[in-house]
Amino acid sequence: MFYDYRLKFSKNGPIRFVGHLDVMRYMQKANRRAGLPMCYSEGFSPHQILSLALPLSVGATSDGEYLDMRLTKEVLPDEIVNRLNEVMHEGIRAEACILLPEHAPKAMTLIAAARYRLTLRDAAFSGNPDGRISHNTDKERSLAAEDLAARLHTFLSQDRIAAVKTTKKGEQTIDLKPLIHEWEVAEDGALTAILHAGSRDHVKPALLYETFFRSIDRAFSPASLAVHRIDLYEEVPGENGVFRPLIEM
Amino acid sequence: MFAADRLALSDELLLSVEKPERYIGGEVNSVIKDIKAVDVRFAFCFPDVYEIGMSHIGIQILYGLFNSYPDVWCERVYSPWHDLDGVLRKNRIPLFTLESQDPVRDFDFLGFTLQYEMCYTNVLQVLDLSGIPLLSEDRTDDDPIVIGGGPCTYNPEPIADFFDLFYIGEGETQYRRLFDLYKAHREKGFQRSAFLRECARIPGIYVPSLYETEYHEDGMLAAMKPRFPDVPAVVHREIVTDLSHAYYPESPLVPFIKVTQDRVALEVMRGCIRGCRFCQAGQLYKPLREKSLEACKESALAMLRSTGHEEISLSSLSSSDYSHLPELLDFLIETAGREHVNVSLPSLRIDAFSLDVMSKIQDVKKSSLTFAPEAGSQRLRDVINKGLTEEDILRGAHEAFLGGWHKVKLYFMLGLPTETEEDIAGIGDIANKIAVEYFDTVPKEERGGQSVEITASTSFFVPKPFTPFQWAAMHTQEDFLNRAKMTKQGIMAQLNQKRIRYNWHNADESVMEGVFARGDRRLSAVILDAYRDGCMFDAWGEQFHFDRWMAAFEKNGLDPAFYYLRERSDDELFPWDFIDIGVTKAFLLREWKEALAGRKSANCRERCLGCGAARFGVGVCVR
Repeated sequence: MFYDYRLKFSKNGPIRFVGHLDVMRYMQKANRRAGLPMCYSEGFSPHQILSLALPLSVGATSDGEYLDMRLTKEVLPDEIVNRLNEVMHEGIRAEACILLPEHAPKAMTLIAAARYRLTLRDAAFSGNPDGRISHNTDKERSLAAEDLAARLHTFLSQDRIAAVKTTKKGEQTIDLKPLIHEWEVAEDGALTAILHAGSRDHVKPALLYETFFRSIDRAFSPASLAVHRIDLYEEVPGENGVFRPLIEM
Repeated sequence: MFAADRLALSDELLLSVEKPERYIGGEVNSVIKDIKAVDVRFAFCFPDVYEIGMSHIGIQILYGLFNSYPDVWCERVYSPWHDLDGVLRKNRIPLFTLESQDPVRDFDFLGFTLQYEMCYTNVLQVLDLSGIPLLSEDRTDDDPIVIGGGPCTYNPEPIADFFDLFYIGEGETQYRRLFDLYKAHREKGFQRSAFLRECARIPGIYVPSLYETEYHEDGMLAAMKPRFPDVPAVVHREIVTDLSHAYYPESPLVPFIKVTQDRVALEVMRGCIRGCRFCQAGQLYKPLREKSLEACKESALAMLRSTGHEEISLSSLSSSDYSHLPELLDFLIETAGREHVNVSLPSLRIDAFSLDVMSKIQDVKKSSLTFAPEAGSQRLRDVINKGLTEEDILRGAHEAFLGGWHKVKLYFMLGLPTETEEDIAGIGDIANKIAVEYFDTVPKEERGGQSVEITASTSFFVPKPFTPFQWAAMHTQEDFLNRAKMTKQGIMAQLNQKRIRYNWHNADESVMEGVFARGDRRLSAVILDAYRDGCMFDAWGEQFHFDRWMAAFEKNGLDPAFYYLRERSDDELFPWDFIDIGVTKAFLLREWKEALAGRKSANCRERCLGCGAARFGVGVCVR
């Protein structure tokens, strides 16, 4: 007998530099410290049965990460949250947990979209491609900053946004427009958007900004984009284009 | 404790280097304190890359111990890899510790653990990037006190100019006293020279600037004397007397990234009863002191709980000699089964007992057996006092093959004192005999499509201080490589040569290691010049620039051959003779003579050889 749970967690602070695989290792160790009755694979190196919904790029923060995990005993979801938070002080916090029905599909197969808040770090305003130190004068910088919101707005309002996606097969031109489900540009240039996500037509925030920077004829360094993931969504069954968070709070 | 939210490097810089996790700190069980509430800030450095440094138990012990003092905050720093090294220099960012992300130069102490000679240029890199003067004599009252510990401090002379203090011995015993003395000096108005002078009176503390050396015309050390009457002529090694009750961390640090030793390390004992004559650790850590079974069990459970690690391993020089090994392994295997933890065993002596244990915890098809005969013939094994016989190896291999194993690793040294062509030929012979043993033991139909895989590895012998071989000569690179070639030919001539793989080490690095191991103070200038010429990460094969080192020797008018190629006379004064480790020079000389006569010596449990370590009055010496 086993019980499948879906855990929602946030990842903020310096731990944002810890990559996807290391977050998996971190969660396994946290589960052990919390004394949760985890389900293990067979063999000489047993490992926990876990899967992360969607990798998050190194350096990005998030309030909506999801982990599916299998336990051997039923534990109250709130207790899982509390027990994990007692042993996690590194910037990852359990936010919510649900017990999944039997044979529920995995989070990674459900993912349809992700909401992000995207901002540019100072270096990007200068268009400095190695993203290191801005040598620009204040005047140039403030001009660019002021411009950013308007330019982003124009860019996203186009009917078609042609982007060059590099895949294993080579370069491919795709239209990003239908994959941007919702967007809003704040006065300071911060973009909040729901982007298509998952195994098909996944849109990385960096691709969107790379395309934007190309459209205004500037160099772009992925390190200059500050990515914050707000939540991950599945499509509401039967309702095309309607999304809901993997765990509704 | 919550992680610091402030990082020393911008996101852009962190994303521009390989593995930014190396530099962010905030790992599970790392310690954050309020700097206003502490009096002493200690930056602890393992001068190599993070993944290596984080695998070291010594730092884990002292990190936990220092942080258990309310008035002390111990943080960590490792060598920045080349990419970050460049970023820090280019942007003039001072090197920082992981916990607070504060500049190292703002600390009270910068401590280095010196685990191998080839890290010396990395020590200079850390000082340099921190903005701390490389030479002790150039430091001011505002610079941190730079202190070294670890096995290389048993001959600290080649790096004497870079350190203010060395701690000779096990760190658990005297640091509290050192911190108290430091606080007292800070309160009354700190003066570096006055503080260092008083440190010399703390047992185990060596203050290199308070000694002067004289040399004979031929370059040999004539005398090493304290410059002041209150400075001791001999520095005695510090040891922990009761390992069961000594501090051991319950909550070791857990790195985010995979490191070399990614598991709970349970120290079961210190010291070794076996007097292998090439082995420095065997002499340095005498006498053997065991941790009680109860203490081991408690420690294992506490560390597994606090870390969430999925693996535990035993740590000691020779775990097979731990008196309670069967009970401890039973306990660990039972716990492991319940908690889904892997038990990884260090190299145990291969016998029926260890094979039985290993079959319970390893996949015999994938794991390999390790034998370290160290020398190819019984004659040479007697010279080095390595107890393992050919019969032991073949019997162990036979039982292992019956148990399903088919992979065997063999470790040897080349260039041991008195080594002949016959000894070298013995390496191929023994590897072949193991293969024959496999074919005789496992019938063809039971091999399941597999066959025996033997890997023989050789390293070049480097004589180390405080061993019976401290008088021995090393060989030239050409000679070493010739020995490796002979070994290879010996293996190729075997009937089963296709089942045997052979690896050997780089001879240039072994030679440099040999020079530093038995070097003197004059080498500090060479190391400094080599560093200035770009030498760093010398232990990392591809980063090692032998030509730059040779240029640095030449510039300083020193000949490396003087340090490594020369057999020492019985009465030569060694640069490290001012250190008393417990084991006496007279004993080591006696062992050197026994070695040359090809005679073995007893181990500490069979018979006391009167090595001198009994003066500590603990462990195996008082049984």
